Amino acid sequence: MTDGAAGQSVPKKILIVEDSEDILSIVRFLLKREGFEVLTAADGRQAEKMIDDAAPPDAVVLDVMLPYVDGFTLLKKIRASASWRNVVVIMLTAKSGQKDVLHGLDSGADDYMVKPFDTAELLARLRRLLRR
Amino acid sequence: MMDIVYRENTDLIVRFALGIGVAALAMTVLMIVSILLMRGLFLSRDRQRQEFMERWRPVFVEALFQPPGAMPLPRGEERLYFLYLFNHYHSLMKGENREQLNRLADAAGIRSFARGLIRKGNMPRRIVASYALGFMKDESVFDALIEGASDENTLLSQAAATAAVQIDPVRAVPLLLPKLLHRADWPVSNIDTLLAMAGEEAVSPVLRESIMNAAEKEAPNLIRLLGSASEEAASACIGYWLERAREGETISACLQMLKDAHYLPLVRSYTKHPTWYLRLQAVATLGRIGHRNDVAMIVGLLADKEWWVRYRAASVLADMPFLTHQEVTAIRDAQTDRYARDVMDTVMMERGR
Repeated sequence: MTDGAAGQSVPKKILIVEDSEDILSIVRFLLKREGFEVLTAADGRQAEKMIDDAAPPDAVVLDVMLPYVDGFTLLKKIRASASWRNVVVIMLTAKSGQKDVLHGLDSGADDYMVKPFDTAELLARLRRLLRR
Repeated sequence: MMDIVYRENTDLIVRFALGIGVAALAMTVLMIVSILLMRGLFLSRDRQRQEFMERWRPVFVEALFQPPGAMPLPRGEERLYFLYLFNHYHSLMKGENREQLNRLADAAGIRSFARGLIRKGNMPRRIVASYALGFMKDESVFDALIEGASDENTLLSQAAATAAVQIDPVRAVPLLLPKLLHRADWPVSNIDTLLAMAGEEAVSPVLRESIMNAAEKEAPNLIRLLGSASEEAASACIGYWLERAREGETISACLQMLKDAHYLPLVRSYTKHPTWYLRLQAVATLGRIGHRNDVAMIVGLLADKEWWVRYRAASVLADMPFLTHQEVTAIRDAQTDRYARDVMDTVMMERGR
């Protein structure tokens, strides 16, 4: 397994949980361009089903304000799941208050990024976490 | 003879009624046709806009990562749709991605179109163009934007002021601040957001001068903007007004914005002030900059005669970073005053403890 750079044998799998079609298409384009395999969930319910039924990805890029089930609840579910608990989670959200950041990190997020965001920064953080 | 007169009069009335009926029918048909035409025009424009968005969204996404390639230039109304998308993607991104979006706008020949809208467009178009030119950091429209910030339309004023700050914050802040402070449609929180965007370097000298030279009735609003100034400037302004203030509102604003521990003895003295909202503000300030040895003083305020002071004191105790959960519980258990115990229970319940 590698960090997803193009030309390598098994691309790492990243799940993007995001209800904004524009953000989703930007992050998907970024990650595919860097050689990652990308899965997407457009709301909390879809993501919840994936956590219950699907094999864990290598990382999740997780929004907080999602329809049906919010990102913090999904994060708790990920950390409580036997197969998903070690998945890298980066929160990517418009919730920028100090309490939200602390809540995200306390709930088990590996990193927390605030929108508006820089794609190069997101990629760098993701790569760093995947190298651990 | 009578019969002829009667028949002629009746014919006239019938003809008149018929004429009115036909005219009403024609008007109704005309209205239906114009409603249908307007609806058709609206749907056609909407479809045109949707098609444009679908065609250009992928172009925008690609443009975030690589220099724009050859593309068909947007024409006519499409240039306005381009500006909508441009502003939208700018609001999602930061850093180098924004520079890439600006390269795309230039490659699409949009800059001159937006400049034209600033001068000649209707209100919604001027607003869209103002934001776009701010994102593009277009120096050539700076003066027009400063003028736009004075417009009586609040949305245009906000768009123009935001854009001017994005283009040149150091020039914009001294020009904008005096105008905005006197507008009822610009709440302090909006001015604060604008100043935060401008940054310390642009804000500190202007606020410092304004605060030091302000009449006391103007000082509280200015002091509440100090969150965007440097700590040094904020401390100097607050110190200045704490020495001179006669009004409770001025002192309250100073306490609210205070971050400098140098003033802790003064803050502590305000926990005993006869005015309840100054005691409240003082205890909140102790929560931000106080030491462990201030805990006893804050605990004393749990029995204050004013509920809001008790509640704030309990909140401060519950959130103090150096107090453990056990210590907060012990403070609650040690309260003999019923009101103090109640308010601690309320705050601890709110925090799920």
